[in-house]
Amino acid sequence: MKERLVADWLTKAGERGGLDVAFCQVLLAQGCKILRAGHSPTELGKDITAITRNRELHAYQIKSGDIGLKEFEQIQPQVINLVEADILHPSVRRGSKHRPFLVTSGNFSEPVETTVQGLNDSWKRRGHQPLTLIRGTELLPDFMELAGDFWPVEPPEVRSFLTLYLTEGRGDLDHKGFAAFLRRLLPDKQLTKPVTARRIAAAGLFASYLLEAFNRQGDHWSSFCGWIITAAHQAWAAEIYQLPPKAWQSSFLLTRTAALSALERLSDETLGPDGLRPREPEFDDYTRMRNTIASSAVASWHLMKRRDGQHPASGDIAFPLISRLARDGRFYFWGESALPNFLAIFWMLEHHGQNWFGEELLLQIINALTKQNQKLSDDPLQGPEISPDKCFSSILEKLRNPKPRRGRRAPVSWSLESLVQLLAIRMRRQALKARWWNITQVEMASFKPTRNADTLLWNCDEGEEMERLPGKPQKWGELTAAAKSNDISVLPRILQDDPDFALMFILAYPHRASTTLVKALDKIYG
Amino acid sequence: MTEIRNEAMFDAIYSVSPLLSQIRSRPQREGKSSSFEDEQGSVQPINYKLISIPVQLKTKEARGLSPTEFIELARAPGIGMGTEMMRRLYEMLEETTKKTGNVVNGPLTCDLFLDLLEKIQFDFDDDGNPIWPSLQLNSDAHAKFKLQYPEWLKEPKFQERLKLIVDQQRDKFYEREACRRLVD
Repeated sequence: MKERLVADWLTKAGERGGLDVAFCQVLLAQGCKILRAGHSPTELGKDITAITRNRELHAYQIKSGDIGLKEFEQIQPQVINLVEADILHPSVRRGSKHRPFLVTSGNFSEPVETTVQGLNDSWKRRGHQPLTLIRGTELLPDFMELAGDFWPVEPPEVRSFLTLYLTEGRGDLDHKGFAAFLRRLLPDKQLTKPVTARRIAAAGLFASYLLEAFNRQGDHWSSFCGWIITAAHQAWAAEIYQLPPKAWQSSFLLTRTAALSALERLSDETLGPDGLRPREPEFDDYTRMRNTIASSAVASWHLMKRRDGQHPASGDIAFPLISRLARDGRFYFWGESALPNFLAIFWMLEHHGQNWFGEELLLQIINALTKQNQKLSDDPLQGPEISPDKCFSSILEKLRNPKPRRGRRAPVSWSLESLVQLLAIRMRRQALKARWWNITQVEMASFKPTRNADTLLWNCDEGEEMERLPGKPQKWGELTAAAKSNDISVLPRILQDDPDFALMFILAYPHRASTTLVKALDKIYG
Repeated sequence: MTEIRNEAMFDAIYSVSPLLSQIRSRPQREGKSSSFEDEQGSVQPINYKLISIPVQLKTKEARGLSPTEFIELARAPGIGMGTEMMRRLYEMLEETTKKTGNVVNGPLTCDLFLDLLEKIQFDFDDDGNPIWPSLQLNSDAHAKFKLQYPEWLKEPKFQERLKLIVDQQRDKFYEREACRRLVD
């Protein structure tokens, strides 16, 4: 089953966010150090550059599918660059020789092999290393070896794995099921450190298999969420088993890069022509929901680039688009899982001097929460653990079949405390004062896992859910003091040390957008 | 069939007492412990208790249940669960009222009824009308109360004290509501 599944995946795997990530995991397992992995106009034909255990420099161009003469001719300029252009990297001396590899998930035709032989003779004469071709069939044993004995074997686990693998790849990522698979792969007991490190690498490889359908269908958001869930589980295992950085960080960084690439693809698609135009008839609220998610991807990607000191050209269209959508009311707070999306948009507006407008957006959310989630409400907004699609389905179901609910619900809000504190930090005293009576009608809920690292898990077995009441009366001085203090030591290490990952993490894990994490991010992106 | 069974079971839980459907609840999402803050500002842990309702079913060779039997069988644990929930609710109420001193004893007379209204806290709507609390009585006491209450209302003394209590409660309510402020 395993071999057939990997072979099937190889026939479908795309070169970006699929084969490239998995291939990097194989290189890491072989003891290589990845210098660079990614696709950009400045790559000079090299998708991956690595140093092997024997200190050899290797450069790889990754392709998918079969490569015949026609396909080879199309990629020939990239191949020439791959072989002839030097590797440009701070840790590589200029003029260092490298071995070039052309890798594909499919096969090379005989005429291509003959052409490459001819080219290699010419390259050798000119002092370049010859090009090596690597086919999908040659990769298969490496993939099999890396995942090794970690494949699910018990029938229920096999069934869950196959269900995840055979998904359509259009908005149907089962976050909970996907995380449950990763938890089985990374249990929190009884593993030795070397086995944990191997399993962390295998998690990245399995994620490549399971997220391929989403890559193929262009569902970048699901792909992004899947990669972030994988990276979070990798970081969790590293923290629980106290692994040294060299045992896990390379695998984690590959997964993190795959997530960032998916976010970038979604951002690019959103900013492209007709990026937000519905492809088929749909409810306007659904369109607004998609606008919100897509805009939050645009905002977070640009916020991260900006923090890195980069100013991508797309920034010139990104901000006007988000500003226009916000002004036209084209965003939708479908439930509390929308909070991180709105926060990313809010921080983007602030970065462009639209502070007041951004704050008004937050106040609108407070208005919605104090109206719908006040303690006597019978129709509260859904909690942050409910996905946007499920929230929307439930809204439609209520319209279609307004069946009265048995018993009454006890509404709480998981977002109100964060929102109030963000506005207190910004000294919006009058706005909060005007709403305080309504705010005191809402019970504020939060969750504290017993182990800090468990924040990284999708579902946490051990911990305390807490409901607290807003102050009656509330002293402004005490509120601002509480808002301005933040004990980030309760966050997992990776969320303290890697703000960009933390930003991506709350987008994919809206139910982990605690006040502490939101304020930590606000300090960096706000 | 599972859906039908579950529907019947939950219907049965709520059929035990109308009070059950008035109690607001939400499932705990994660973790195993939880706490809440009461109106006095104290954090109270929630002590979860497992409720088990054993159900026996004698099956016959090559014979299933009729639809009525199937529904009845599904209702049995629901009724058991609802009854147990009510029992524990009263237990908890008794504990809480003992703790807060909100206890009145004896048969329900008009004075006792007014004493009761004096001791508990209730809210008012936007027009200042009281949102009357629920009164839980057994069926005999309920029948008696339904007969007595209109008679009590005719008594000027009862009316006078009731009005006084409502006015006092309204003042307390406005005092409480006035605290819902952001202050210096």
